[in-house]
Amino acid sequence: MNVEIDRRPLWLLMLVRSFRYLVFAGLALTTYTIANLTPPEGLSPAGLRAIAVFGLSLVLWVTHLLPLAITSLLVIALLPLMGVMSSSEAYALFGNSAVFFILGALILAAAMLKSGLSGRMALIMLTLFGKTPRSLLLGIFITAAFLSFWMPEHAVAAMMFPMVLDIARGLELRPLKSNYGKALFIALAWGAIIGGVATFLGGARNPLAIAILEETTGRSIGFFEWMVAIVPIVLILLVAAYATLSFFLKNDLDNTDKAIELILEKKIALGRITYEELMVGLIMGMTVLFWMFLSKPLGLANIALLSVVALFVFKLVSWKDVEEYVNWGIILMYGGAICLGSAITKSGAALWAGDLIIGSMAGSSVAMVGIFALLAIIFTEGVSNAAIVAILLPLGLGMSSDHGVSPEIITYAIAVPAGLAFMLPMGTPPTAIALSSGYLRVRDFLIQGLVLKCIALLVFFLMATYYWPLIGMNVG
Amino acid sequence: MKNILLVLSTTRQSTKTEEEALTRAKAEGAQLTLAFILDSSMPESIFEKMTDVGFTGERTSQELQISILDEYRRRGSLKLEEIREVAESMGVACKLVVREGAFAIECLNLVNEVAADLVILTKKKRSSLSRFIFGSAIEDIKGMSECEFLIVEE
Repeated sequence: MNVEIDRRPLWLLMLVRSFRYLVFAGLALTTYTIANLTPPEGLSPAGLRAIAVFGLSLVLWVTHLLPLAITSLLVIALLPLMGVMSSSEAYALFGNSAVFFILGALILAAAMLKSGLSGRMALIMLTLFGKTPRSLLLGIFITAAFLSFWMPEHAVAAMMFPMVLDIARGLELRPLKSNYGKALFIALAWGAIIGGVATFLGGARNPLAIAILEETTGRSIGFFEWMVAIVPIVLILLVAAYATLSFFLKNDLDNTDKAIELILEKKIALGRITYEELMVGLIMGMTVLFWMFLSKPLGLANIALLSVVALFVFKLVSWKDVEEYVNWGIILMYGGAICLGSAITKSGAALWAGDLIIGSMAGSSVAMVGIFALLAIIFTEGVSNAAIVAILLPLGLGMSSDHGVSPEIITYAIAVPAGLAFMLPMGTPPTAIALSSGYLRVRDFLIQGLVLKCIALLVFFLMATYYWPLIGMNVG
Repeated sequence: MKNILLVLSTTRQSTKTEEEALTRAKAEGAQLTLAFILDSSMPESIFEKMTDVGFTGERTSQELQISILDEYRRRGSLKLEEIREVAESMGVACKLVVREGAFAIECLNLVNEVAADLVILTKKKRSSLSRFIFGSAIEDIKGMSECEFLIVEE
């Protein structure tokens, strides 16, 4: 039976149905009006038009009125149409090497998921840890974080979710009542989120940030260089997150015998390691080593693409698998974001807008880094973290030279905090996945998430002030 | 014999509603149908987020969807079994039904199928403004059926 039930008043229905179109009409009109204003002093006409497109994409990326990738397509079409850059220039930015790097990385992640290697790694790590309630919780934290070093964080959360659900069920934890049940799922989400900032592989925002940095300044950050700067922060955050969780959710479980039994059963059921798992592991290991030590001469994207070819040479994945595991909308989202970043920085709009919005607050280089890090960590709770990078980084890069901050520092200061969404499910899929278990409510994330967020910001500043100078990176 | 239908769902359940249904069925010597509707649309927002924000393909979302829905289905069945045990100890005859789909549509289907004389539902706590703007499934169901309804506030 197909029944349509809607008993709201007709005027309300009409308003609700036409609201979307009214919003789009309003946005189009506002963009057109801004683009045709007389530019204020210090801003070129092309810069003003770039700001109009930037404002439009900001609203669409934040509100999700259109899918992220479709907003990027709109950006690509509008920039040449409004005379900000030529068509050939705009479309050429779609071919940025970062797009192909992340595609290669996602195909490698698809191979790890499909072969079962990632699941086996998770089970082995959980077996090592799961002796007591505390160590099992720590095991989930560390496993999720470690896997997120090498795979997208949301794929890790999705892959480990059924395992953690089985553990919670096996331990007969009561949904919404058991502290330990809540802690298990928060550990899964936070572990994946924190691990996701450690390398270029955990979150799509990191290569996007590098691509915007490269396109606008011609400078770059290497895979190993990023790890050296960020992994110590990740390790401290993991300890802080575990301590926060243990403090707020007191353990109410005596033993984990049933969970250990379950994990062992699953491990035994997997049997011996297969040829596919072994080969995928080998290729992944080699790729990571090449990324770490040979990325400058060989190029991150070239290494990624050669590894993908190797997967097909050894028949470890099929094209159908790749199509099912990889979201091709990423090319569109990235292309548009890189294009917009380049347009607003090169037209001088980023410097003008950045100075207008936060210029007076960013008195010193440290204050500027602090403001951008703060904005990124706040807004990432409600907005996709890739969108945060696409919005804030061009502004930061535009202002960096005037404030004496190196573009690399600004890239870290925006990309890393943009990945740390601990409180709400809107910003990042791992939190949404954890919530869907039904073992916890949004409010279970809020207070401890806020505390961890403050700790994360403090850790970031302390490391930037005291650790980064030791490795040759100076904020001031 | 009077037919009482108690409808629970992934997001609509409360102890108060269950107690009310058992008490009414016992007092009126009625047959109690315990239904659980698995709202399959509920986890969809997560899967959309996975493919949009999270940049992952269909397969990862599908695998996750299967495990989430299996878990909700299992919890629904357990809940119904729990109520049946109490009902049987009170001498109330009952049967169990688990359905998957949109709450309002599945609820109306069940009302017709079991020829219910009384339907007992849980109303979630929401503001009047939210009910006015977004509508209320419970009010819609009441408007579409002739039988008696007992709505228990969560």
